[in-house]
Amino acid sequence: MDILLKRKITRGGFFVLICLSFLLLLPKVFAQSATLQQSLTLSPTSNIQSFDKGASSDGTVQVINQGSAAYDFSVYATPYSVSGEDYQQDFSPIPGAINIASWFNFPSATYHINPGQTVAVPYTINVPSTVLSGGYYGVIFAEIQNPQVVNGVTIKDRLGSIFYLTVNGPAVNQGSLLSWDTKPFQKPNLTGYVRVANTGTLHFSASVNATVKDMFGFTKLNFSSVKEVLPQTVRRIPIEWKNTPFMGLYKINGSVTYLGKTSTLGTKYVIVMSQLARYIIGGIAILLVLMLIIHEIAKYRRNKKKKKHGPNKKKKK
Amino acid sequence: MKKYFFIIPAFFLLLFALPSTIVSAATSTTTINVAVASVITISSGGTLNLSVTPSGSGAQTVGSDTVTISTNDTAGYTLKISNSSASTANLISGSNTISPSAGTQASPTVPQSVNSWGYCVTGVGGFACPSVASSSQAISNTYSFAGTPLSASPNTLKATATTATNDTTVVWYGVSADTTKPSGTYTSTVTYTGIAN
Repeated sequence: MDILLKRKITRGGFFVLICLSFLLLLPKVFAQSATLQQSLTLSPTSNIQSFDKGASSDGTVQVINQGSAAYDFSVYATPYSVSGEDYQQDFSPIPGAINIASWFNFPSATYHINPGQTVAVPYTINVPSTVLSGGYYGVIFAEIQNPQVVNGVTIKDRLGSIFYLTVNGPAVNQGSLLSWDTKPFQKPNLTGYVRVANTGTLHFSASVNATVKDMFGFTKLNFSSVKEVLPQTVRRIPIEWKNTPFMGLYKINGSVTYLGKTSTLGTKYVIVMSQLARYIIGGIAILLVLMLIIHEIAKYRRNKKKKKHGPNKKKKK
Repeated sequence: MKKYFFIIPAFFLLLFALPSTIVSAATSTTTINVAVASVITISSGGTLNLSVTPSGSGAQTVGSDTVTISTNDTAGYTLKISNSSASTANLISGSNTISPSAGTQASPTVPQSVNSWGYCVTGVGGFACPSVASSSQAISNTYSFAGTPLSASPNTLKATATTATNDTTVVWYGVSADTTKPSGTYTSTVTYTGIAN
């Protein structure tokens, strides 16, 4: 009888153990399926190349899957243009302008990539012999091809690699630093702007370096950014300190290097104060004013009382 | 004999000095140049399922998707949104459609029109976005939405000044429907574009 009971208990325990294992494993399985994520990486982010008229060149862009899900992606080229000083990018053909998307050739339009895999996407650029010398701009896009969802919104992620192409020949390399501005009183994040003009016929790189120091002379930020400035445009390049402290007095200076020359960015002082800090300081100021008013009123009343009771006291004496 | 004692320390001095002399004589400098390629990474939800049970005056469902971008390019990056279609931004179910919100990013529609859908990103344009997902609620008088632009003219959601690591942007989507809208599975495709500045 005891042996039978023991066996039953053992079997029951074994059953409970299996159930517990299931319970413990199940969320893990669900979690694994829930964390399957698509991730698309493209390299390089930009490409600077020079060509003679009628020349061609082969190259590759790297597409990397750092996620946990496999997917298909397509590759294609578009023209690249900008508008405004903030460089609003546009990938549509401009009527009357040369569409360099047709200069790009890909052996395949779609690829499959597994997690952890890198796919080198080959391309060939064929520059027509009839084209004028100067700068031409395009983008190679890699775009995830997600299957259409049954109900709702299908999301497609795509990344672009910008191509700055120079067709050799007579060209004008010309540009200038137009301005360097920063507001003396700001809310976080601390921001300044450098405006660089390209008055030539070819793009050039503008390398902006800036240092932000606090009032004790300690360096708080070393900012560095390299941006391409397209011909016949003005580019407003932001200098931004992410996660600026809520309050402080800072000194900014730096330099801009372009077309082989360096222009110094003169020293500017900036007071940074968050909205909360402004409220606190404003509150303290109001409190001080109120205290001052109360003090003055009390003083006035005391004086008035003194004046009122003054003669009586004298009389008593 | 004593006068030769200096030879012993001289020998040891030579013994220790010689290798360093030889080493210094054999030393040459090598400049190592390392080219670190620029990369940009994007990830998002991939799909967003929104279900709405319509009501007479219109019911609204809101849900979000998070776009994460990293880049080591010191020029920073720009994130854009557009519909994948060049011709229509409708949610489509056969011959039935739910039109995109008439509002734009600069001037989004509030409250959301009945039988429309759109997106909202906090801190961008004139948006006032939800903070939690909700399903088939009365149309909010607070949340504002803009229609997704066509593929030729994407809207900019973010432009950064320098490198970024796992920089997230939450994109809210809202859809509203009343009982005049035929039931069905309505779909559309949205493209997020990440590109260096």
